[in-house]
Amino acid sequence: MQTRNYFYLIFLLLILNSCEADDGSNPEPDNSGTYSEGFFVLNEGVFGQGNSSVSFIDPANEEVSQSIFSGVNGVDLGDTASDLGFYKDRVFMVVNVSNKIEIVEEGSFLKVATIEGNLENPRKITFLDGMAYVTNWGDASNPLDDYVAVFNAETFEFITKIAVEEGPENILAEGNRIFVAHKGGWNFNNTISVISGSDVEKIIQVGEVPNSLAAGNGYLWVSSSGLPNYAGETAGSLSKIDLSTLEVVKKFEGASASWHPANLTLENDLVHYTLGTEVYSFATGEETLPLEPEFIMEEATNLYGFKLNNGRIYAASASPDYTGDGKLFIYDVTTGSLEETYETGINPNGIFFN
Amino acid sequence: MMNKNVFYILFFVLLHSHPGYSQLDSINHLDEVVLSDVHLFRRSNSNTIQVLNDSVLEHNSPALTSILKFNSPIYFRENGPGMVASASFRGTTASQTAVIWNGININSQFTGQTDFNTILTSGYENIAIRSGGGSVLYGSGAIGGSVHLNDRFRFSNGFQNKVQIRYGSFDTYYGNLESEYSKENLSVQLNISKNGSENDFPYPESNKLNENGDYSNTGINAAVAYLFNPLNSLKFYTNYYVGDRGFSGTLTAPSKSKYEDLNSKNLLEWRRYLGNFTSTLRLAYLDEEYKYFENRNREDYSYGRSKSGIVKYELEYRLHYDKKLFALLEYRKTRGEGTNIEAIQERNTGSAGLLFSHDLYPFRYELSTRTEFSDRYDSPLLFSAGASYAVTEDYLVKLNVSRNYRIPTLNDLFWYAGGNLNLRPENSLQAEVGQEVNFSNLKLTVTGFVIDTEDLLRWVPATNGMWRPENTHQTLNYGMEATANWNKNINGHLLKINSTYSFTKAVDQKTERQLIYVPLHKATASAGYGFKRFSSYFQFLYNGEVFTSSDNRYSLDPYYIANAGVTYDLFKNHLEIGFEAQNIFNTSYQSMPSRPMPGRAYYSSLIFKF
Repeated sequence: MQTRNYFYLIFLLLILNSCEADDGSNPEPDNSGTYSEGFFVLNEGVFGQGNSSVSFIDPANEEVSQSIFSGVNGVDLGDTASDLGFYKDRVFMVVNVSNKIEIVEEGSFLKVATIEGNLENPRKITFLDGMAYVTNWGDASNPLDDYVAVFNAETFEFITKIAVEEGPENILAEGNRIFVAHKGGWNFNNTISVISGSDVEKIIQVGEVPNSLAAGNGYLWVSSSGLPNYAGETAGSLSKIDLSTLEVVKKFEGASASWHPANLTLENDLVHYTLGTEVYSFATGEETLPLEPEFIMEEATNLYGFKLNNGRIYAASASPDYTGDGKLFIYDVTTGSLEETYETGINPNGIFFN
Repeated sequence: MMNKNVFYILFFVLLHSHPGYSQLDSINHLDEVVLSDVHLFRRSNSNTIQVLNDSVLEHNSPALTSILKFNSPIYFRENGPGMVASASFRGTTASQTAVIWNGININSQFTGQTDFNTILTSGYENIAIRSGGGSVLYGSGAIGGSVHLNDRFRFSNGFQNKVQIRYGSFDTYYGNLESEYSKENLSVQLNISKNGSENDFPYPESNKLNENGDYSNTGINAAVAYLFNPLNSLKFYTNYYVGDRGFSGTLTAPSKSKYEDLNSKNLLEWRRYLGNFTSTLRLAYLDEEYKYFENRNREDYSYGRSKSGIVKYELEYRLHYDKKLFALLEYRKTRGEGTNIEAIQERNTGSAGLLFSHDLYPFRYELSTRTEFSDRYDSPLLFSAGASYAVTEDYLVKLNVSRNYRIPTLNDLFWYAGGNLNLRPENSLQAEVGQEVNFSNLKLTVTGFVIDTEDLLRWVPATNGMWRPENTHQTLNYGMEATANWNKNINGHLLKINSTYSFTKAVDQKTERQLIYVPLHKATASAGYGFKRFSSYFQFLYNGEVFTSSDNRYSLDPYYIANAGVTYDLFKNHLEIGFEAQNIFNTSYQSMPSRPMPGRAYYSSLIFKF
């Protein structure tokens, strides 16, 4: 070791006479271990670089704790974290490219377990009756190997795989059923699978590329983005499904092919969705779509994660070239005014409240 | 511990001892060679050129990446041994270093860059590294510099054969057969290499292995030259490469994907000397194909294939003993197809260039220009102006100013999701000033450069969320490169030290932040010592910190690594055995995030010449 240092010193003296200043890069992970008064931001990092992280934001004190998983546990979260879910006093994080689910205690973020088996390209997670349901793409290019994996949420034991159509993405538990939106993986799909127990009870057709789900007052709402322009661009749509009959009772179609809605959310009998960085709202009983946006999230130029919670919109925006830290902008949903701004980790893709 | 001390002492001895002479093949100084790519040397007297000869090639790992990273100012980022490796020359992007095979630009038509782990160095007579802009001569991508793979022919030399085998850690093997036959008017050579590895090295400071990183590849290089008479020659070169590799997992992610490369290059060259004229006609055909398997256990893959036909004509006219005029005409037709490209797409480019050089020793200058016509984009008018002045016999000053470019690739133009037909070539205005000093056994060069690049092509998200290439960024690169070469032969003890150092500042002109994957400092040093049948060498590499995010908040630590080896000639230059240790300090380092590189590894080799 001594030799090595000596060698290095000589080398530095001989050849390099300038030194790099440590400019505080690679932000310090937080390990305070108290994450109860606030919410979480999941940062997926850069694909292939294993730099996913979780930020904890305490809005009362306007404080952010970065990289709390690695700070508390001393190991990296993994590659391309894609979802975070709460079950009792535990937090489950789906790490897509690492093919695993990390489970931690909610307040301390101390690691409890890791689920590694029976996952192939896991995407999103939800919970129902003590079970965790996780959507899996299998090989993204293979339409025949997609499934929902079921684990016991208490013991983390693998229960079963439910084979589903191509590209299961968002997943929602409502009543005694699980609803899965099939975006299509690397392909395109246009269905919602309804899972009851360990069977697919029904497949409901909606618009192309269903990207978000919300349920309330007896209805399931689905936003579908429509096909992108390289695939023969089509207008997106919003579907309203009656949860008692599992039939689509109303479909709102976009007026032009470039209409691609996302981030559909329900709150206080209002449906909210986004078009790019514009936020639209309408009452659940309305017959037509609004023409004008409520407001524009001007600061969120690379909108990557979105959440409506208690009258506030949490818009996570990635850095301009998706390599550095992103930002979280918080807007008042009624006035559209920007209320707070926080730093996040790399490519924040979701905001999670328990 | 033992090893470290031994090598340290060896290195220290090399710096301070004063011994004698003898000839030793492995560390010979560069001999005069006849090059097929003549204008590289004749017309580049205002650019810095560094040549790595076959003895250096013989004693390095067979892929081009490792030889360049240990012997040149070029910085490499690689996903691991044998995995994808791309170059950054003077802080430029991976597609701004041109790779030139016997005078023909062979960068990928899909990506615009060369994966330096898919080029085997065996069979080439030498590899030259030309710093700075060279688009007038070498076309698209010669902005940071160019790397030249050169064959050469010997005549009246009979049968020569060489067999080399090498085996080492992680089941890494390499076999090479080189045969050459020549008489007074015919020269034929054949080189076959096979190279591979399980590549399942343990990640240092981790309990994981590098999984799914296996690779194997085969290269065949053949060339024939026929002299009708000393003033009229015909040459044919062919190069075939087939590679099959897993894309390795990382510290945090498993992998099961696989990639296959299948590249072939053919070149026919007819050169004629007629009075004051030299005429060279080249016909080349390049075929490039890749297949990507998301899951290597399944048959499904995506692919791309491009075929290029090139006609290149050069005519040199000696106006006077000190003045030369040189004209260049080139036509290139490229056809591409693949999973991610709609239908079969075609790109046609024609270019014409004119060069003038005037040798008024001690002052020389050269002026050149090139214009290009394309059916897909408008190219800038390129130029280069250079001069050199020998202040004394041992002190040379050089100056060069040039405009260079990089054309949009087939992916940029025709990618099914986002391909953009309204692109301009990237273009750069650059200048450099160099000095070269010789003190008996020591040669020093110091070059300062500045490169102002505009219309950089980047894939950026459009308002509808789709990524597509745009001419968006402007960058400014400046810095310096220094090389020092020293060799001495004292009472049979042959000593040689080569080193390079580069300082590179490369900033985005809008944010003024350092570009990602460009270290401020890079340094290499190699030392060789030989006595009678014994020779040894030591290589050292320092890569400074690199940012991995454009907000410069995330970075990879700087690292230094070193290799050392010994060879012993068992029988009159016919049989040589060698032993090498790589990463002798067992440094734990990463060239890309989450991708640790191997710790210490050992290799042994046998070279048999007959």
